[in-house]
Amino acid sequence: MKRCVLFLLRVSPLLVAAVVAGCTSVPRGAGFGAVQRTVAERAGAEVRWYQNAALDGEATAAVAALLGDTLQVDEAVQVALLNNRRLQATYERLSIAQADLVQAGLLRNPVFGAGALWSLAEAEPPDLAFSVAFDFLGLLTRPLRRAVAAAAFEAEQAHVTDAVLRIVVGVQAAHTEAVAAQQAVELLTAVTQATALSAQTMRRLFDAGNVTRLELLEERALHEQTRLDLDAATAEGVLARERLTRLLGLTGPAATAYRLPQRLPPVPRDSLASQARALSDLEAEAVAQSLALDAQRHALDAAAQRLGLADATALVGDLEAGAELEREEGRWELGPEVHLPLPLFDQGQARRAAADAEVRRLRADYYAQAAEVRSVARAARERLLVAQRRALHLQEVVLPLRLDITEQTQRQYNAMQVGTFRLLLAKQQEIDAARQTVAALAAYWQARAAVDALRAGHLPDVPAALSPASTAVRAMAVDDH
Amino acid sequence: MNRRTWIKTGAAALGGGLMLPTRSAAALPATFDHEAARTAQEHLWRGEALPQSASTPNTASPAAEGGDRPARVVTPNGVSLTGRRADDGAWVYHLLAEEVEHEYAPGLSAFCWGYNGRVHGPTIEAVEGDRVRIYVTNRLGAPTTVHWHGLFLPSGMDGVGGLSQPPILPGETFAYEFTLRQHGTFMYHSHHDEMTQMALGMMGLFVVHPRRALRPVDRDYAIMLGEWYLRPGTRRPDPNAMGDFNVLTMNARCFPGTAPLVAQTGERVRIRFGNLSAMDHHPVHLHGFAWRVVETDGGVLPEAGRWPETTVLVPTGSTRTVEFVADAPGDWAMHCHMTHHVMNQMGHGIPNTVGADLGPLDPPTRHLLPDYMAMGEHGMGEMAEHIGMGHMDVPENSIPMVGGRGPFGTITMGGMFTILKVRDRLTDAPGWYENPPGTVAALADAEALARDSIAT
Repeated sequence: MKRCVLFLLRVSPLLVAAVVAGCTSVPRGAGFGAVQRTVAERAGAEVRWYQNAALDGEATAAVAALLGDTLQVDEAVQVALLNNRRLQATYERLSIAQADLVQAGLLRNPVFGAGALWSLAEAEPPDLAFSVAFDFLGLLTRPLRRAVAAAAFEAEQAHVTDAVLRIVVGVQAAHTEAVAAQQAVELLTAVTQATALSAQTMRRLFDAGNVTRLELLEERALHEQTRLDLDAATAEGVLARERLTRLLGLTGPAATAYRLPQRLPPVPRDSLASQARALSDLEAEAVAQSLALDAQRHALDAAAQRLGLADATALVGDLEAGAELEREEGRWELGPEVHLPLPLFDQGQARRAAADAEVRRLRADYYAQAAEVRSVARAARERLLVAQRRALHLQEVVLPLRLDITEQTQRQYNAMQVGTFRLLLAKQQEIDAARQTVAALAAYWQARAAVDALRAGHLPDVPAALSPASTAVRAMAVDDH
Repeated sequence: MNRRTWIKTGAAALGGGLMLPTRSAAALPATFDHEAARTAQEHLWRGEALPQSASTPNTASPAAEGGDRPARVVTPNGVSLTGRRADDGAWVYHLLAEEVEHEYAPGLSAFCWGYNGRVHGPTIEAVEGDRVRIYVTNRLGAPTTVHWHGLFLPSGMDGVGGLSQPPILPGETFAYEFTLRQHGTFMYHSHHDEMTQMALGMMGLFVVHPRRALRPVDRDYAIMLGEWYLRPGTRRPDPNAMGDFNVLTMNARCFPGTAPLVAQTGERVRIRFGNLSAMDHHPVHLHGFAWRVVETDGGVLPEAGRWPETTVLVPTGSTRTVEFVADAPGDWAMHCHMTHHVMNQMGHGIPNTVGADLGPLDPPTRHLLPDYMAMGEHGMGEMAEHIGMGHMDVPENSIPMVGGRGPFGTITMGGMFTILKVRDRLTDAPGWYENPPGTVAALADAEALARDSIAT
C-alpha cells in the first residue's frame, strides 16, 4: 500500500492535496469553549464536559459541596449543569457536528482496481490491469462543503447553549415549585392542626353534655376533609421535588438527602413602575440574544452554501479522475482515466430546487421564530408584572390584614365575645392567605426566571394560565354555637 | 333685659357651657378623658382596684347644673336642672339635644345622643303648680321631639312627632309650655324615631315635688334604668338591637362605673326608679332591707296598697318610687335581678364550655395561637381570674363582663349593679364597710365542723 501511495504521489499533485486533507483527526471538545463562555456570561454558571464519561474529581467535589448545605436556587442550577447526564449527552452533539466538519474536509477514498485476464487458449501470463480513481470534483467543492459544515457546527453550538439555558430555567422553575410545595405542606399541616383542635374541643364539649352529636360530627367531617387536602399536598410535594431531582441528575442517597430552603424569598419591594421600565427593552433584548434565531441564521447560512454546492455539482455529479496501469502482452501501459457522467437525465435541477426550497423554508421559519420571540417577550413581561403586583398585594396587604384579623379575633375571644371555633377559623383563614401568598410568590419567581431566560437568549415555555390557581378558601360554615 | 336677650344669655348657663352644634366626634365636649379611660380600662382588665375617685364619687348631696333653686334629688352620676324664674313667673328650662361622647364605666365609652352634654339628660326638678317653659334646641342631624312622659298637659304639648306637633328640625328651637298639675316621678324622652333616639340615650327623669312634702325623706335618689347594645370594639350603640342588649345601666352607667348611694344609719331613703329600656322590665333588688312602693308615674299609692318588697319590678315605660329606712350599716348590693343584666358586654354567641375539660388542649392550641387559653370551663367568674393572672389583650373600648374590685376580691357583677353604703357616721369617702368581728362569713374551722357533725 505504501508503495502504491508513493507511486500515486508521483502521479498527481492533486492527489497530494487530497491525501493531506484526508489524514485529519477529529479533535474532542471543540467548540465547547464558546458554549462555556456564553453560559458563564448569560446565566452566571459553569458548565463542564466530561469527555471520559465520568465526572472529574473536581466537579464531584463541587457538587458534593453544593449538596452539603441548603440548596438555594442558583446552587441547584450549578449542580444541574455539572451533574445532569442529559446535558452531557447534548454536548456530544457538538462532537458529532465537529466530526461532520472534519468529514466535510475529507475526500472520498480513492478506488483502487485490479484485473487479470488469462487467455483461455494458451498458457500465457495474464494481462494485468491496475487502476486508481478518486473523486476529482470533491477536491473542487471541498471549501464549499467545509463552509456548509462550519455553519452547521455554529448552529449546533447555539443549539447546545440553548439546551443548557433550558436546563437553567427548568431548574429555577422546578426549585421554586418544590420549595412552594414544601411550604404548602407546612401550611396545610397547620390547617389540619387547627381543624383537629376544633374537633377535639367539640369532642370535649360533647362529653360534657354541652353540644349535639350533629355538631360533633360536622366538626369531625371538616377535620377529615382537611386531612385529605394535606395528604394530596404531601404527595404533590414529593412529585415536585422529584421533578427537580431529575433535572439535578441525582441518584442514590443524594437524590433524597438534599435540603431545600424553608421559604421562597419575598418579592423585592422595588416599585412596579421601575420594574415596568426595566422590562421595557425586553422585546429587543430577547431578539438580539435569541440563541434559537442565532442557530437559524447559521442554518440559513449553511443552506445558502449548499445552494452553491448544488450549483457546483449540478452538471457533474460524480466527476472521477484517476489513472490506469495495464500490462498487456508483457508491456506496461499507463494512462489517465476520467469517468464523466453525461448530464442527459439528471442535470441537478432537482437538487438545486430542493436546496432552493430549503433556503426559503429556513427563511420563513426564521421570520416566524423572530415574531414568536417578540410575542413571548411581551407575554413574559406582562406575566412578570402581574405576578409582582399580585404577590406584593398579598405579601404587603392581604396577609397583614389576616394577621390583624387573627389578633382582633383573639381579643374578642379574650372578651368572651367569640368562641374557640371562631378563633381557630380566623387562624385557618390566615393560613389560607399565607398559602395564596406562597402560590403568588412561586408564580412571581417563575415569571422572573422566564424573563431572565429570554434575556439570556432562551425562549421559555409560555404557560397557558397566568399562575397556578390558588386553592379557593374552603367555605367553612363554622357555627359558633 | 328683655326676654329674648335673657334667653340668649341664659342658654349658656342652662346648657352647661357653650357648645357649637356638632356631628363630629372631634368637636364633642371635652368632658371625656381618653387617657384616664385607657388607664382605667387597664386597671379593670387586670382586676386591680380603681382609684377611689373613679369608683366612688360622692353622692351625698344633690348637684344642680344652673338654675335659680337648689336641687333636692340626687341623681347618681348625674345632675339636676332646676329652672330659672322668667319675668312672667314661668320656670324656664333649656334642653339641647346633641351628640355626646359618654362614658358608661372607665374604659367604655360611646357616641350617644343626649341633652346638655349629658347622657342621659339632666333630671328636671320642678314643683307642683309651676308654669314650666321648656326650650328644646335640636343640634342633632335628625328631627326630634320631646315627650313629657306621664305628665298631664295640653295635647299639643305632648311631643309626639307628627301627631301633636311637627318635628323639631336640626338647628331649630321649640318651646313647650304647660302647668304642672301633678307631683311624682315622671320622665322625658324623644318621641320621634324613638327606636333610634332612645336607643342612643335621649331620655331623662322629670321629678315634680309636691307643694307640701307628704313624706319627708333624708335621701332622695333618682335612677333611670336603660339598656344598650354596644359590641366590644365599637364606639356607638346599635339601635337595631332587640334582644341582645349587653350594656345595662343605671343613669347610663354600668358597674363598676355606677356611683354608690349613701345613707346614714336610720335615715329615711327614697329611690325613684324610671325605666325606659327598649325591651326589658327590670326587677331591682336591694339587699338587707325591705322597701315599700309608694308611687308610680300614675300617682301615689294609698297606704293600704303598699306592700313590702325586696324587689321592685320596674316595667319599661314606668316609674316606681320606693322608700325604706336604712337601719342596718354595711355595703349593700342593689341590682337588677335578671342575671344577664348584671353583666357587661356579655357575648351570647359563644359555645357552652361549662364542665368541659379543655385545659389539655391549651398547649397544642398555643402552637397556633400563642395567646390562647380555654375559658368558661367553670363559668364566667373565671374570666376575671384569668385577667387577674396577667395581661390579656381585649378589643379597644371594652370592659370585662364582670368585675369591680371589692374588699374580699373581685365582685363578679357588672351592668345594673350598685352599692348602698350605710354608715353610722358618714364621711365624704365612705370606702369599704368594716364589718364588726364575727359578722363576716369565713372558712369553717375543723373544730366547728366536728362539733356540728358536718361531713365535707
